[in-house]
Amino acid sequence: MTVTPETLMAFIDGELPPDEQRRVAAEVAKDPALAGYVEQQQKLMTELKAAFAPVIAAPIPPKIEKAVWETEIPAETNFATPFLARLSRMWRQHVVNAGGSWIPAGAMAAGVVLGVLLANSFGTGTLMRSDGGVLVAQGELAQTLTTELAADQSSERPSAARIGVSFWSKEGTFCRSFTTRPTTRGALAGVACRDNDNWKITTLAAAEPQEGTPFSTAGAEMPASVRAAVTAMISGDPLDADQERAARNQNWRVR
Amino acid sequence: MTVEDQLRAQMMAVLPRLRRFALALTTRSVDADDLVQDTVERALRSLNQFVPDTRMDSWMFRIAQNLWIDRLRAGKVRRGTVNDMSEAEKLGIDGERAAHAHIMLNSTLRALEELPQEQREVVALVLIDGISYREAAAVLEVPIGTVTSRLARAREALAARVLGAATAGAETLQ
Repeated sequence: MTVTPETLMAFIDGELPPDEQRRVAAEVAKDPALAGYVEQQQKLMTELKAAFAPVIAAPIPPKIEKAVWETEIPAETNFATPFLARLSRMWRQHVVNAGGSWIPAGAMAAGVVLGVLLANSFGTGTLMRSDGGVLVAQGELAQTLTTELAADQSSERPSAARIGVSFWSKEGTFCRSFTTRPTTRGALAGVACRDNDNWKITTLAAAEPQEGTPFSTAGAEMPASVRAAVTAMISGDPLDADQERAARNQNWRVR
Repeated sequence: MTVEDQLRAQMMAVLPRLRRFALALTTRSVDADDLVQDTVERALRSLNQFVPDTRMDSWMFRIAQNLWIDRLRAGKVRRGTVNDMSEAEKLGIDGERAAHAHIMLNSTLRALEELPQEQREVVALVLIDGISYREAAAVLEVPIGTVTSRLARAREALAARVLGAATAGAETLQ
């Protein structure tokens, strides 16, 4: 096995999945040229961080602090945004509650209503629906979840959503995190898991908006709550590109 | 505490990193502090666009980055070289090992200054601030592949300048 320059850099920056990180570490240990390069680059990062460390410790100039506390927030600031954030918190709380062994039917129904409400409030109501007390992806979102590979997502053909990671859940289903294409009101991020032929949405939250950005180039930031949900649900490592392709080719069917 | 005050307090917590980012971006303490101040004002005036519960740091870094690019394009930045007066001194960095710190920071800023703007941006985010490629791509509003290719080029240049190393690039290792 060889290590490409791209992989080596991702290794140095800790950007590889754990398995791959271990594999490259083993290659580096065997090869003095690679080891020398890694050491040099780590030294560079240490020096850069050290040089800038005093900036972090330095006192904030009073005029900047004053700007933080005294810059006027426009009166027309739209408090719909905090409202949406509250909605997504309620949804999350619902999911936490539903994680228990006993799920009150009423709470489940309320959660689905909240999810649909959240989707509608972002202008993405056509992407999901309530189905027998479960929130499921439909239309373009369902299509994207079924067909798109994280590695193949192209900025030329933006889809309804971007896939973040695909993974096996502890319950033995395939799940994928996604961020919807932002509308003027923002974007939604969540996790969907394969359930028969549906994608059941188990987590949903407001994503960070990207003002004036073509969705294709940057995408929206995945909220911490969705990342936390993935961490809680995942079994092992996220699927790599090959595993993801294989899963798709078998229509996300469990073994 | 009102929602507004909570957001302001959150903003205060981001300031040290924002200031470091601005210094790496501009390589001048005066420009850096002006940029931080403008970023704070812009952020508060466009609070509409910030979604609570999401990352305020990435949002503010993005505003700072966009303001700085606007300013460069408008030709509003007059650049000389980093002069003898210590940038560190102007930032109010002080203390026992201040002299050594000043020298290190000044020479690092000189090295950064020689990089093209777009390489300096990724160095500031990934190598100095330590955020992920993905987050850096979101701040800069470019694809992740662009972040990594800029970073690869910047690393070679910086290894030579900061470490004074006659470097073997990653490419030549194969």
